[in-house]
Amino acid sequence: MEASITLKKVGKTFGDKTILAGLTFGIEKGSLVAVIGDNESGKSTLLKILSGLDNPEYGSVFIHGLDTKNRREETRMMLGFVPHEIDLDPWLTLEQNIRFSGLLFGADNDAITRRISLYSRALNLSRYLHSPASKVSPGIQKKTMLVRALIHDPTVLILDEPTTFMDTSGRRETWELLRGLRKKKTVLYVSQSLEEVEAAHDRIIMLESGRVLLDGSLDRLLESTFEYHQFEIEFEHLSEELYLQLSAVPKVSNPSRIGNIFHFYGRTRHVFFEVIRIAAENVMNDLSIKKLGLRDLIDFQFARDGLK
Amino acid sequence: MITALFKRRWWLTQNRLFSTLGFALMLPLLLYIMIFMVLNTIIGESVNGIPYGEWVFPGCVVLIGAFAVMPLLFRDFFDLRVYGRVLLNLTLSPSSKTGLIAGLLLTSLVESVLFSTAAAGVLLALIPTPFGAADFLIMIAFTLCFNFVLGNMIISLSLLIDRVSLFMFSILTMFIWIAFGSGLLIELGYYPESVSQFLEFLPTAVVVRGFHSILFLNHVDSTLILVPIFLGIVWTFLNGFILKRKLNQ
Repeated sequence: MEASITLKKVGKTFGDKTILAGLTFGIEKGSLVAVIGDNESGKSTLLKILSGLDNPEYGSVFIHGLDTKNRREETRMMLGFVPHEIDLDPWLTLEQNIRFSGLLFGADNDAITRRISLYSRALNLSRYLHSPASKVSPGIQKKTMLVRALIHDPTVLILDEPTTFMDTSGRRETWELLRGLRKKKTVLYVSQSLEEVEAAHDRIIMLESGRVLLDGSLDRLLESTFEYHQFEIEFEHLSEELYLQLSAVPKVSNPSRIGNIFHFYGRTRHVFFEVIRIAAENVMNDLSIKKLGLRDLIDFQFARDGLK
Repeated sequence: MITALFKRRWWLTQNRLFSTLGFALMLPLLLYIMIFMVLNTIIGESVNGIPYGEWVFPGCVVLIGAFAVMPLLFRDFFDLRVYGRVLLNLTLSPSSKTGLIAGLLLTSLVESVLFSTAAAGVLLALIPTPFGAADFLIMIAFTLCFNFVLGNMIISLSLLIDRVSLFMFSILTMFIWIAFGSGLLIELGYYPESVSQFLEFLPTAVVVRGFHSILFLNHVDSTLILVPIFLGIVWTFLNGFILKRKLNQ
């Protein structure tokens, strides 16, 4: 499949700290790719470099095969970027903010009007278009920034937390629009909302300390951890002694407690039966077993180890 | 790009029309009270014997233009940059950094010239002057030239400084120098010789010298016109370079 974005050994440091450590990967045309990771993992720096807001210290970024350093003008025409922070001109109306960006990218007036109408309807934004940016909520401003990024019809969209500040319906409208753009545009986004990432992605890239830790679809990422489950047992009374006893069961991973609930991970189901056997003499109120999710992959080292 | 920047300027002016009009009325009124009513009585006439009211009028027109261009450039290059708005998004457009600097500067110059034309009209209603239409055209042309140099200076400061307090201090210092050390309100001949010799070679003073030479001596000194224009062009490129370095793009 044709690559839309290609990174070749892209690196960035800040003093002694490595922000991005020689990243090399490609992103397929028309795919919806989520970038996740903890704070300081390099997500925002990666997006800034891809959008052209920052330069890598070494390595190259290619958009549809064109080097962003040498073919700046052409590659910028192909990109639409939504930063995390609100960056609209507060003294202009939402429509003026969008139009200004369209004109700056050389789009003609008719096309701008058509796209404003199309995307603002999709995002339920039409009634706010004539309001000054300073007078509408941050969620509406964020929607406007998405329309602004789309106004010159770019083929690649780079979005830093596209649904921040939005209410539930705003989030739903935004994801509906972005899913609708799948196959037509390549969308790369960063999100802290793992529920959103699980619901909308063709591929997930997880960064840690500037390196790609995990890369693939959620099913593929969880494939090698399929044996892992998370278990919860709610006791009538979970004593410290019992908690320590259960935590010491071999193959019980990451045990924790919240009040009378004992929570742990296990690679095989047998570990659950072993725990139940030891706890049998105590009164249990509830039991639950769940497969691992994206949150577990991010939070627990043992879950990631299962991928190796 | 330039169409987009002019449209933005127009929208911004439209959206704050009443405050702009208020400012355009207030400023000449204030200048009339502070300069014509007070300094006129103190100074009386220029070094060359021209009545002070007549001598200072063109300087006031230029000063109003300078007043008008300062907030526009402050907003575009300092305020919106420091708070991560607009300017960063502008730099993602396919235009060069120098192109953006030149475009934003040009649109600000045009707005400031329109502003000073309107303010000059108000001033003219208050003070009778012997200047004709051609003289007004010269004043407007020199306001453009003066603001070209001053605008680049403000852009450099706005890009190089990140702290509001330091920026305000620099702007106020520059304002005192522009108003009193460029020969707009006080003739440089009134300063001690060593000071005036230094001041008259500063870029904004060169523009004012060229300007006064045409209006009051009917002498066109092309060096005094071309040097500031050349300096302004070089400075615009330099500002493009500063912007590029500042944003690491």
